[in-house]
Amino acid sequence: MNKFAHIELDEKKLSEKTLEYILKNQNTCLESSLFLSILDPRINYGNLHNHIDFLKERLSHLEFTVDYDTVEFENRMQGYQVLGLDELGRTIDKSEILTPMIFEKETFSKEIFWANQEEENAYQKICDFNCFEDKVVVEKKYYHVMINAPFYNVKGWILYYQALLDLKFSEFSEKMVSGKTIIKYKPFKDKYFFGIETDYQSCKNNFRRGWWEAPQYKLIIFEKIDGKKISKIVTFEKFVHPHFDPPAFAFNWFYGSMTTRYINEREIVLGDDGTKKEFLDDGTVKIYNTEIYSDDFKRHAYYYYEMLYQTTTEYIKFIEESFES
Amino acid sequence: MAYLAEPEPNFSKFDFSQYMSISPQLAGLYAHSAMANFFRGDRLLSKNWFPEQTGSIWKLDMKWRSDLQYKNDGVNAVWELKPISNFVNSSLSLSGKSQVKFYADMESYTQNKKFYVGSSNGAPIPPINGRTLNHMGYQFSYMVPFGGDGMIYYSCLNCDSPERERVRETNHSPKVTTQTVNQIGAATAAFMVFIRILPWLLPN
Repeated sequence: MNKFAHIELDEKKLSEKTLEYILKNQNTCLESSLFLSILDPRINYGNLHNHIDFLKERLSHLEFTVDYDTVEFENRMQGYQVLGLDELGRTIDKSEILTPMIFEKETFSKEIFWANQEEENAYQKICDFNCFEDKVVVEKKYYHVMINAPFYNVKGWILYYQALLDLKFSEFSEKMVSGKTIIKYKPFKDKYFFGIETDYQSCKNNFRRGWWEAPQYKLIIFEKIDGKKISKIVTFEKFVHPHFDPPAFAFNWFYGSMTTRYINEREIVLGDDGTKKEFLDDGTVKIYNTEIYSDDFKRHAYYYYEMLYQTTTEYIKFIEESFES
Repeated sequence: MAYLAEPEPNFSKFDFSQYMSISPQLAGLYAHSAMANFFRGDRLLSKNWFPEQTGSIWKLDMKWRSDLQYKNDGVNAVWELKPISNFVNSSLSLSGKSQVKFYADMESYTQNKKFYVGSSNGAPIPPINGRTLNHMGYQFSYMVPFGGDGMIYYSCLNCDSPERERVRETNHSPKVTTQTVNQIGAATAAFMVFIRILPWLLPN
C-alpha cells in the first residue's frame, strides 16, 4: 500500500473490486478482456465462482508506486507462455499459438457488442474518414519510404480518437486546451476535478513510423487556478485499469492479427494491409491503400474505447474512494 | 496517364534490374523492420519479446539499440541481428558478439537487472529461428545457429533478383525455397560446430 499526500492506494482493495467485476461480467461481451492476461485461453473455466482462489492469486501481483504526486503501477502477474523444443533440442518460445485463441474470443465478444443497434448508429456517425493517406514519391526513394508504410491519416485518426473520447467518456464533458495538451474533465470533490489528459504526441510519432498504437492518456486530479491555469494534485501516468492493461487487443496486435498470413509453419507474410503502388508517367510512384481493413480498424478502435470505458469506470470509483481531500 | 503496377504492371517501361534490387544496407533495414513487426504484432510474443530497444547514458554520451530483448520473470536477454555473411566471416562474427555483450552490460547497468547474452542463462530461442518473413515483397530467412552467443542471422532470398516481381506476378514458385535455405543454414551451422570441436577430437 502506498500513501502520500492526498492519495492512498490499496492494491488489495482494488484486487477485491476487480474480482467482483470479473464475476459480474463473466459470460457477457466484456468477458474477452479477462483472457488477455488473467485467464488462460486454452482452458474452459465454466463458472468463475468455482475459481475464486485462482483469480485472487492472479490479481495479487499489482504494485502501485506513488512518487510525490505521480502514480505508476507495475503488474508482475506471470503471463502464459508455451515453450517447446526445436530440432536441436533447444527451448523455443511458441507462445504465438495462443494468440489466435484470444483473438477468436475477442471476435466473439465484438459480434455480441455490434449487435447493439445504438452502438452501430453511434459508430456510423463518426467513422467517415480515410484510414490512410496517398503518398507520391520519386522511384529512387520508393523502398526507403516504404519502411514507414502504411501511411496513416494522422489528422483523421486523432479527430476520431477525440470523438470516441467524447462519446464514451461523456461525463468528462468540459474541455481545456493548453498548447498541444487537451484535458477533458469533470467535477470531483470540493475544489478538485478529474481530467483525462493527452497531447496525442505518441500517436503522431508512431504513425510516422507506420505503427498504429492507442493514444496514451493520463488521469489527473487537479484544481483550477484561473480560466486556463491548473494545479495538478495527482497524476496517474497511465489511464487504464491496472488489471486490464490493455482492455482489448492493443492496436498493433490487432493490426498484426489482421495482416499476417501464415503460408505454412515456417513462411509468414507480414503487413498484408492493402498498401499498393501505381507508377505514374512523371517517374514517380503513387502509394495508396485500398482501405480493405479500414472498417475493421475503426471498429476495433471503437470497441477498444468501449472496453477502456467499462474497465476504467471501476478504476475511477476506486480512486475516488482512495482520495482524501 | 497513369497505369497500375499491380495487378498488371508494364514491365517494359522500367529498368527493373536497377529498380527491384536493393542494397545490402536497405536489405538490413527491411530485415530488422520485418523482425520487429513479427514480434510487435503478436499479442503473446510482444509480452516477453521487445524489438528495437534503445538505451542511453546521457552523462557518458552513449546511445545504443539492441535488436531484440527478452524479459520474463527475472530472465533477461539481449539478441543481435546480423546478415548471414557475418556468420562465416570470423572477424565480423566476433564484432557482432562483442556488440551484443556490450548491449547486455549496458542494459544491466541502466535497467538495474542482469541481462545475459542470448540463451546463455535460460532464455528461450527466439521463435523467429527457421522462419521466413515476407516483408513488402522481400523474403528474409532467419536462423539462430547457437543461441548462447545471442546472434540471429538473416539472409535475403530475393533482394538482388531483378525477376522478383515477374515471379510474383506469374505466381511461379521461387527457385530458392525456404526449406532449401533452412537446410543450407542447418548444414552450415553443423559444419561450424564440427570445425570448432575438431581440435578436441584430433589426437595430440
